[in-house]
Amino acid sequence: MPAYNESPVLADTIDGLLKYVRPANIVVVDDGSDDGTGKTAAARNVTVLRHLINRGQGAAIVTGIRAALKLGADIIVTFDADGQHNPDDLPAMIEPVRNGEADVVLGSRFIGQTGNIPRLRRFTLRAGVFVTRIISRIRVSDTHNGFRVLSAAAAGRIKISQDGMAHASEFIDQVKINGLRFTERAVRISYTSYSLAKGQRNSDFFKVALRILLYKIFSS
Amino acid sequence: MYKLISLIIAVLIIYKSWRGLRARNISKWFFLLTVTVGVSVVISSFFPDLSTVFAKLIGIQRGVDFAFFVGMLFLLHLNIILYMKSQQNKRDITRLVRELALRDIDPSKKKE
Repeated sequence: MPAYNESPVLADTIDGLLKYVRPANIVVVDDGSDDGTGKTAAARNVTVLRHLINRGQGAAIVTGIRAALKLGADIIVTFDADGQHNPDDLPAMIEPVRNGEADVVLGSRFIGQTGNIPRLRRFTLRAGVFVTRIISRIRVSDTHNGFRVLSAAAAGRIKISQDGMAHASEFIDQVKINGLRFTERAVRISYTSYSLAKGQRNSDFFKVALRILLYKIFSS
Repeated sequence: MYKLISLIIAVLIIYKSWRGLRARNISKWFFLLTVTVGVSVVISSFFPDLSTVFAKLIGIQRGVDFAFFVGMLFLLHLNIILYMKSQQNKRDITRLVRELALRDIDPSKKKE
């Protein structure tokens, strides 16, 4: 769980996950926060790692995945710290990997009930899906969803170089490049004023699209 | 007058890059590049018609346009090099920050 200045909501997010996961199996990566995020997480007895300086969500996710592998995890879940994801979706998300049906499960807010997505956010997310379809030639319904499940073997093969928000598109690209079996599952997203203020701005779409385009040019 | 100015600028560029090479701040390839640029500036200002000859070779009418075209290409090339270097620096910093963070992993807390 990457976390940057999330202390107002982090305790609730961790408490939600503790219904399904043991504290030692939750890895919070404090990405250079200055609001006591690390202390908030440590108070819940979860594993806390600290980036000395802020490196971005993508960098924090990679650190978390590396830590999980080091701790011997079989299944790794990435989960946003800002409380927008619903921990009750976790069992259904894990199931395909646990059953060996998929290497990667991608959460999608566009499957099932999609009522509460702000209109502009819906448009930019759809645009992201379109760009990913063109650049990575993979069909998914939600590219920028931080709720994912991956097997340890898949985690070892996925290489993320984008430190910022573009990591989400790169993740999908890596699924395609590595020929990993993937499936999508419906997840519920809570759009609160907090998560909307903390999350990606709609204008970030252009920045992310440019970054992923440059990544494809320079990595090929 | 412009010949004298371009000569002074070229000498300054080459002198600065030579000092950079001596101090090992720049590579010998970058030094050779700056010498080439400096010498080209001097030659084209003393023999302006020469650039027109080269320009016509690739289908451009005026030597000035040719110099502008080459300059743009050079700046684009420099931009790409700087972009790639800055990306590499970012990646190195992230790697360092990550390795420092992962030192805190306690192996005794291995998955139950």
